[in-house]
Amino acid sequence: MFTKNKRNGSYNISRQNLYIGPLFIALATLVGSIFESINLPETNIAIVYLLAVVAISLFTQSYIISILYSFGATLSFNYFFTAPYKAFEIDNVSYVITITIMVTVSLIITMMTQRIKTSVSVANQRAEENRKLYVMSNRISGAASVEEIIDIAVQSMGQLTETNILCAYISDISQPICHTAQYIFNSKVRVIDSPVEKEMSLKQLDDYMVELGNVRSWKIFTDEILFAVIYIPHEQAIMLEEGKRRALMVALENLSLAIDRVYAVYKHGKLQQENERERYRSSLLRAISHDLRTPLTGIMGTSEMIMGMTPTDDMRYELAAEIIEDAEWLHSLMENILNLTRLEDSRRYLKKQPEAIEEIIAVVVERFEKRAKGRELTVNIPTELVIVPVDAKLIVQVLINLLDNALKHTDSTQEISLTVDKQENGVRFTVADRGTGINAEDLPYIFQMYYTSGNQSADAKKGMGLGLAICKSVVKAHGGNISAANREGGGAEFSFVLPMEDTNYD
Amino acid sequence: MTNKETILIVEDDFQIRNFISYSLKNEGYICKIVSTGSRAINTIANETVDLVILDLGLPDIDGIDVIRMLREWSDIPIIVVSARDQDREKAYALDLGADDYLTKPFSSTELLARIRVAMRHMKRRESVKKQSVIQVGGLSVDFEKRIVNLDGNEIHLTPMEYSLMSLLIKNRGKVVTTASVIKELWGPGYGQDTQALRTLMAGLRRKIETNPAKPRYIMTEIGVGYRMVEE
Repeated sequence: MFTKNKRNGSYNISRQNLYIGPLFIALATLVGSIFESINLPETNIAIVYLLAVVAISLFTQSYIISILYSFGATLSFNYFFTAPYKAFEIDNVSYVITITIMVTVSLIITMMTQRIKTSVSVANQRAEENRKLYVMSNRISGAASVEEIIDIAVQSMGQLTETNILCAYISDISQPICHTAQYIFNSKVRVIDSPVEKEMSLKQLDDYMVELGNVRSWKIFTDEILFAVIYIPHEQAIMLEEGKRRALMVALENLSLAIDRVYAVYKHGKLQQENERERYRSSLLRAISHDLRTPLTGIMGTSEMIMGMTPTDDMRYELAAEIIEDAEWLHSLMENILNLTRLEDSRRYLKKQPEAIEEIIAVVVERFEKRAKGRELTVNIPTELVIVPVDAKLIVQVLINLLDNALKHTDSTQEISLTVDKQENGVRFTVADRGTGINAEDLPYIFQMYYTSGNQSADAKKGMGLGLAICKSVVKAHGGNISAANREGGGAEFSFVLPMEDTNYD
Repeated sequence: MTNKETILIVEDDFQIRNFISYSLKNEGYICKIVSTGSRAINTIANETVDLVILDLGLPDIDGIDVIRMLREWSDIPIIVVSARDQDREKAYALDLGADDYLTKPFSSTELLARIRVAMRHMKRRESVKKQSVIQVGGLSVDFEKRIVNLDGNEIHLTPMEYSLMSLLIKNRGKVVTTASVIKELWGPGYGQDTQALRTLMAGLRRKIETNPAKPRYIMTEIGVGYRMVEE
């Protein structure tokens, strides 16, 4: 994909070098012989040769060639104008001095003119690079899409560094499929999305490129995500002069900023979308909650009213009581569904605060006694104060659900216990009973939503199986673990551990 | 038919209105029923009403605003009955001056119990403006001598524990929200840090309760606040 690249310009320069030197030396010799014919001293002729040396080094690009010519000028002065004439010998001491000074002066002049010329050309080059960089950042800041930015950047970098450029990038953060764009310097061609590496991730492509070797690469990250990689053939990269290397760095910086900008806009849009959805969902939840509570209140209240008006031995009393029971079941189902829906976005709904375990347990015990009149609950909690960051209301519901489950699987003589103990970096809650226990085949699925034990028909009432699913969601949202097991000596045991430290969990 | 108090029901749902008034009349209360917030305020201003049962979702004004308006000139007991189940709204209504908050659905027995508590509260407020000793079960607080007794024995409380104790016992039977306890004890700039309050409460409970998992005196209303029992 990369081709060799030779500078075409270098031939012109050497051809110019070849004829400029002899031309000026011949001119100086001509003027010298005129001076000699009108009997001017040799020193004037020497000055004319020095002038020729200055002219040569002004027009010659190469340092070495102009030094060679300055020797040539000195030698022709020696050959034509010092005795013995037409020979490279010197018989007068004063000529030795003249020639030595001439050589020294011409060397110094050559060096100085060459240095000035170098700094001028460096300055020009810098100016040109800066102009290109300016054009690049100008165009890039007007670009709206990632594709456009990459296209401009690749083209500009290629022109700046005068090398071939390949850029691999992803155009969509959420869909990390790699695209490529390349610029081939000597044919001035841009290729967008070369079809070879379709359906490849940026990481895969980068690994492949690294394996191929002979490329230099620069990675560009946005938000700690690898967004683009720029490749330059190794042999071209090591030839880069300091100025171009610097320009390349500036260009990379420009590209990175531009990508950051586009990504920030994209993220903002996405956040807005999410907020919209969230608002919609919470108002929906609110509406459902409200619209179900009001009729339930009416049903339960009116049934109570009927019960109040009916003698207890009347069949209607019994019927009204059943209506209340069903309404209560509907109510708890509604609470569970609402909580489960809320927990889907736990980060938003979890209101964790430092809470005392004993307060949570006290509330659970109070509710248990209200629900299961006359049933004993054995409670064991640490005597010292234990404070855990939790959403207290949800943890209360988890414990109530577990106790309800225990009630369902025990008769009135079988013990139910609630234990809390402090562990190394968490608090363990255990609800244990001496009831029927869990069927071995149910054990793996017991926390799944809508799972009810196999010997019940799927639509058997009060077996919606939401209670344990909620327990799992709540505990998971707190960064904890829940497990179920059968106890030795009969009965089931559910326990979960909540971390003592408040960290963010998804 | 021993009660003679008049209760105003502010509720726009026909069925709920019906069963509340039925069970109230059954208990001997006199019932008045309105279905809008503005009519509720009018009735309380112009007629004799001893207690209000207030729904928050009213067709004209939000129930929260009704509480705010009423509290500007009246200290009539308000029991909120609402389908809104968020703790935030509960605490908000209580802090504005509602005496109690019931989330729908609720049973009439529950409602009647809350009404009795609120009525007792009001009578206590009317009869003795300032009590020097308050007694709750075996617990008594002497505000002049700053002495707390439990079952006849004096117990020693730190100044903070004493402040918490007197705040709760003066409001016995009523939920004091976490935010208002923090504001009262640590000042308004303290924010919502509950950790210090939980620790203080644990210390106090260890001095007055025999079993913190089954408190006799100070009950926790999870997510909302604390309530001292009445007897």
